Amino acid sequence: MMKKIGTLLAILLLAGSLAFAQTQARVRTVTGKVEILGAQQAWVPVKAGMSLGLGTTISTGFNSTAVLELGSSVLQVKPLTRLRLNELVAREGTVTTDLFLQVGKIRAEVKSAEGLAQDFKVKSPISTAAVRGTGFEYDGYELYVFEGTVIYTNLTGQSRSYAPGEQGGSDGYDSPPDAEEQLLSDFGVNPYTPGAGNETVTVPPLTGPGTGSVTIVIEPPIGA
Amino acid sequence: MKKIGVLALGLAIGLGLMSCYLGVFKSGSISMDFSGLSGRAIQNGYVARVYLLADGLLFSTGGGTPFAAEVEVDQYLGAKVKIDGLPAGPVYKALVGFGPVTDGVFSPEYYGESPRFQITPGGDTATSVSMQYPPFSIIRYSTDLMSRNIKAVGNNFGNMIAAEDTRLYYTYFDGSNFSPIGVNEQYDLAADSLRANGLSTGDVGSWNTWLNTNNGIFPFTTDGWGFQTDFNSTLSGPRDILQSGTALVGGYYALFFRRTSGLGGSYIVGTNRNSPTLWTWVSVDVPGLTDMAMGGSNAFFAASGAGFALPPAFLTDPVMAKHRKNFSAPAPIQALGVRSGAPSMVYMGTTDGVWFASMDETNYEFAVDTPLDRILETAGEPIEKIAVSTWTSSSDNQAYLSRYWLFIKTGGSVYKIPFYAVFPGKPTGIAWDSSHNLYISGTEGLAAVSVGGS
Repeated sequence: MMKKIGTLLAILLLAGSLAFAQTQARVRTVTGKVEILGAQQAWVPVKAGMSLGLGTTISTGFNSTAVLELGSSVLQVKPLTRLRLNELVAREGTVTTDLFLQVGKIRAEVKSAEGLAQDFKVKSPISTAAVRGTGFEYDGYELYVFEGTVIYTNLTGQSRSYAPGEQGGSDGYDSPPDAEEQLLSDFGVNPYTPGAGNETVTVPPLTGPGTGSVTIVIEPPIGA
Repeated sequence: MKKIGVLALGLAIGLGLMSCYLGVFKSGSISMDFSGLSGRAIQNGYVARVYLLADGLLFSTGGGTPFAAEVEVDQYLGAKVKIDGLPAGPVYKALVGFGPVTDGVFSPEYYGESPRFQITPGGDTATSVSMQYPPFSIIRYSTDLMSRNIKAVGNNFGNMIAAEDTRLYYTYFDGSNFSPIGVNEQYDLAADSLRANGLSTGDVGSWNTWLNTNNGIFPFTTDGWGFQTDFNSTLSGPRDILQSGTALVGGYYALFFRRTSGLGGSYIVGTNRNSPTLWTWVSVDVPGLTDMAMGGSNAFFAASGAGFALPPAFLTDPVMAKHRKNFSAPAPIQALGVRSGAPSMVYMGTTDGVWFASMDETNYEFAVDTPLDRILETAGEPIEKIAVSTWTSSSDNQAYLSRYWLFIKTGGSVYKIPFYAVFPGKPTGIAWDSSHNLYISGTEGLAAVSVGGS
């Protein structure tokens, strides 16, 4: 009897761990500078194989990407992206994934495990992409669907369904100031010295006697 | 020639204030011999960048590099810039960009131009430039592409592709106006023995962007580069393609191109879309072609100062005289832009500014159905390139490029921006993304501005 109870308990534990494994967020690969902000409230570098807890924010730098496994789904976090993992849980036969894309771009391949439905949402400050399919790209503004169907909802609650090959977006132009400021402070402005280029110009005919000068008064616009 | 000197003074009323601004320049003034912009290193602070037009041409002291003066100024009071040693004779105009330099990055916030003036020998001529606000708050650059000679830029589902002679760059915009333009991927065309001539918008599903090369046209698929290397396998005639465009017409793809002294294309049944070896191409010689734009079904061409449209039927029955629909403008047409929507519009870049009219492409026929109108602000300027935003069917964002000016039309207003004083390098191309961002490729890299509007 004790042996049977022990076996049953083991099976239950195994089932529980399997269910948990299906809803775990894990870093598959990392390229370049990728950091997370977790419960410790400090940015730490990300390594492949690392697990991500709920509430974790992941940030990618220039030319940096991360590939995340969210249960059975795969999410590519593109460069200069900041993304928070709000929810990843399996309940009553549905895997609910809730991500907040502060800034940047992601590419998702949402895969359903056998017997589980997917409720996969990516929100941005100006819109939401809700997945009823398997593949899309989203930057918080523009959505492109390459597989399945994605419901795009803007701030006013207007929705549209996008099929494979379709793209669309909302005029949610303003991004959160704090995200912009954070990006600016994180990455700075790279030096770029504009020049005049290699324009070949024709020197005008220098006719007339002598030279003179010009004084140009440059007046800022009113309100500057 | 006597050295050209520049004296920059703070625009101050009264000697007391004047002394403050003299302090900015330590010695009280600066006097420089300019043959270009190199050698100056204002790292921080507001500067005014001044170029001169002389008899309508960018003034140079020689060596092919434009004369430019860049002086530190006060953001609120402006500046007084004295340029001496200018030859008398030409009619001049000053072009000015004005803005902060932060860590060596010049970010013009205002721009302006002076009235025309002439130099009095031995004397000093006074003129003024009132700065204006551009339709954008900041210019974004690509640090990855800085100082690179970018030949063209094109839209690929909102992400822009930039083309060097033998290299492509897939860029991205992270949504923040404070971030540089990023580069995700690169593609080496030299490995495929290809040279980029330009980028065109396909606007048909995954054929969103066409790469025009010395050896035909290649599409980008929606997922990365995805070249179909057999795309040119049946292309007949010269393969040096300069521009291209596509329209989906009743289950057929009407693919047009412009090449050196000729045009052509292919009428592709939808089921053969991925089988280029089954396509049949036409290619005919047309002298004097200068530009091409794709409408909802017709292709529009500028040739020898006139314009004409060709319907998809031309691609199966390539008789120019039978299908060609001519149109003209009050001045010779050099460039074209088309917006298919409600209403459909054709924009004609002429030697005397931009003219436009609504049109009707229904039944795959073309006709200008209203009298030509004009973008008044462009009058007198020879227009070389036109970029029409097609973000929405009623979009009214456009950009026109002349030799020294970038015109941006947005929100019903037209901004005439002196290119050299505001943007880096010599412009090579302009393109809108899938929103209201205008990208400008040039000999010094890639820049972008967000102009609002729709």
